[in-house]
Amino acid sequence: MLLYENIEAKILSILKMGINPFERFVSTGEIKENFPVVKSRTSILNKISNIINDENNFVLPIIGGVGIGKTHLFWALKNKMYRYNFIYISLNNVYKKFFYNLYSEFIENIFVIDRENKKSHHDVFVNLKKDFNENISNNGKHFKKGNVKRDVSTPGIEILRVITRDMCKKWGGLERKYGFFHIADLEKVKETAYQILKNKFKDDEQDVLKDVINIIVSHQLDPENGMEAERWLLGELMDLKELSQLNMKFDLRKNKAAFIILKLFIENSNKKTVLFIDDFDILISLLHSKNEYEEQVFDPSWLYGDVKSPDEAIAKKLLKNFMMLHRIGGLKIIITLKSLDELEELKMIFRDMEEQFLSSIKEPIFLLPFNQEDVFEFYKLKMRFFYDFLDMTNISEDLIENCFPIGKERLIEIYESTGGNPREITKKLVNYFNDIIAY
Amino acid sequence: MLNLDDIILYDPINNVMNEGEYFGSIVLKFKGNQGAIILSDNVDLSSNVGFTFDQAIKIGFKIQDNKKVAYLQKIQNEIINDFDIVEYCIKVSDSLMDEYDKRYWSSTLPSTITIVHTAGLYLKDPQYEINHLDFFENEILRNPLALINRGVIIADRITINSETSMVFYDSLIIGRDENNILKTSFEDFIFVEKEILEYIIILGRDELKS
Repeated sequence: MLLYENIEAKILSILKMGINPFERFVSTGEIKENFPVVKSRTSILNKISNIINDENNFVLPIIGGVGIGKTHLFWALKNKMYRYNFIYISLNNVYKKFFYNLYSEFIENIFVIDRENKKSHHDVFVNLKKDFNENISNNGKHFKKGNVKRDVSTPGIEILRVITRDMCKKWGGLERKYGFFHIADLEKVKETAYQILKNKFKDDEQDVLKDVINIIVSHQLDPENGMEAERWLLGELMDLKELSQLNMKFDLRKNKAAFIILKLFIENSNKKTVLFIDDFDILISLLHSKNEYEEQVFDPSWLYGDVKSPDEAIAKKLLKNFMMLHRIGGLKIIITLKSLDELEELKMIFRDMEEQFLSSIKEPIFLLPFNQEDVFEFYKLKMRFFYDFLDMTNISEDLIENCFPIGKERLIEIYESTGGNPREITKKLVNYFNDIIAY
Repeated sequence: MLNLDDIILYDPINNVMNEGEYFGSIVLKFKGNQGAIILSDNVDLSSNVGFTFDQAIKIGFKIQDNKKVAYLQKIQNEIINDFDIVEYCIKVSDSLMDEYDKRYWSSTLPSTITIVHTAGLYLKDPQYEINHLDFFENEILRNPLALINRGVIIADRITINSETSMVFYDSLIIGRDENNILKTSFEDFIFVEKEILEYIIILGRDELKS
């Protein structure tokens, strides 16, 4: 064990080993984030939580510029409201095959209790702590990179089975004959299910609905096809032979199957679902993308009539799909936008497409830049996190309050130069600590 | 998983007789080491009339053509008024049956053998012994019902490990403990040695469905 004359020298020594407390500065929907929000944002978090708890079938816009912490807010909400099914999607990634991708996220979310390969900030610090300890045991001569093996959690496939079981139970498929045996008449169960559900779907969705019912009933009640049905429900690619065994024509990518099954699963899940759609402003960008013909001298619309740009067509389809989500009972939707203008523009588009939809859009919540106190608090929280995971329990409160090693004056400079944007602040702090490491 | 919420309807050893009409998962065992079993979703018990079953199945062995054969007999509106031939009658708790239901899905394993007509897999009997265990070694059979020396096993499936041992999966077990108290439990799997077995009957799908 190394002995240090004072704690400040020890901290600087650790930092020089290459451990940067601000190493990661961008939250993503894929990597779990446990870092708490600063106090000024707690009221926003509570306000959103109250809306989620009290209301259903709404669209809640959250407005804030790039790097303001919208994705971090998703993780804060997910951590706070763990009884809900929180699904994160970035519209950037899912605007093609919207429902199929959304269904995949839903399945992954309910399945994976703890994701194997996606490390949280906590895990990053666990690794750093291990590295640090190894380093100490090597007399501090080298900083050796190491990996902590994590427990590999198994997917909670049981949750899917519970949902289909509960649905089959509602359809009379789990009656116990002679008190013990599930001997269901599959056709009777399917017919009961169809009679219960048919009015919830449009005429052109009825055939797909029957297919989806067929799969759910097979999954739960048909011992010979249960495994194949489960593969179908997991969105696996299936060849024609496998599909015909299930009496199906298509897998989940075709028709409206993904939407219908998503609706059924969300409505029948024990947990209520919150869908967090990040980067919703991409819709506006797609709508504004220029038609390639507009650049030309000759306007082909004289000959061929109005021609939509492909992006505009995608955007219109995406909007239509988005509005279909409103048909999913109990689904709560949060969208993120960069400005109020974008929201107003969206409202105008919705007004043209389906005015009723407007009533589900709630008043926006604005995510403002950090104020000066937030910057201090953010810094202190990060450093406390850092000390905790290095087991440095003898850090004095004064050291934390004085924002060692950067100091309050330097933090104020950073705040003023970044306008309080959390991502920019973090970038500056990363650079500051990198300088300590380098020199 | 041991369960304490069952309702014991009739247990002469412990002087229990709970009269009334019951719905759920009911097991009646006749006396004798190889006594038959009745499974039903309802029973009306009164000391004057006896056990009245609207609809039930009776499972056991009978002698036919000078050999013993397993049977699954559907019974309707049957009254059993001779209490002396009944060892016990119990209603398995709903919570335990819910647990049984939750595991039910796992029965959809590939290559599981479901037989159409009820048949005896094993019967310990010096005169009429039945033993097809070697024939089904390493196979998975659905819907076994077994009688062991202190209880009944109603399982989702059975795997024959060898001629002397087998595993019952997703099993309801009804039997007496060392103090002769009737108890039930649900087990994900249970290893059973042949020496404690009285019989195993594999229930036929068609007879259960009819």
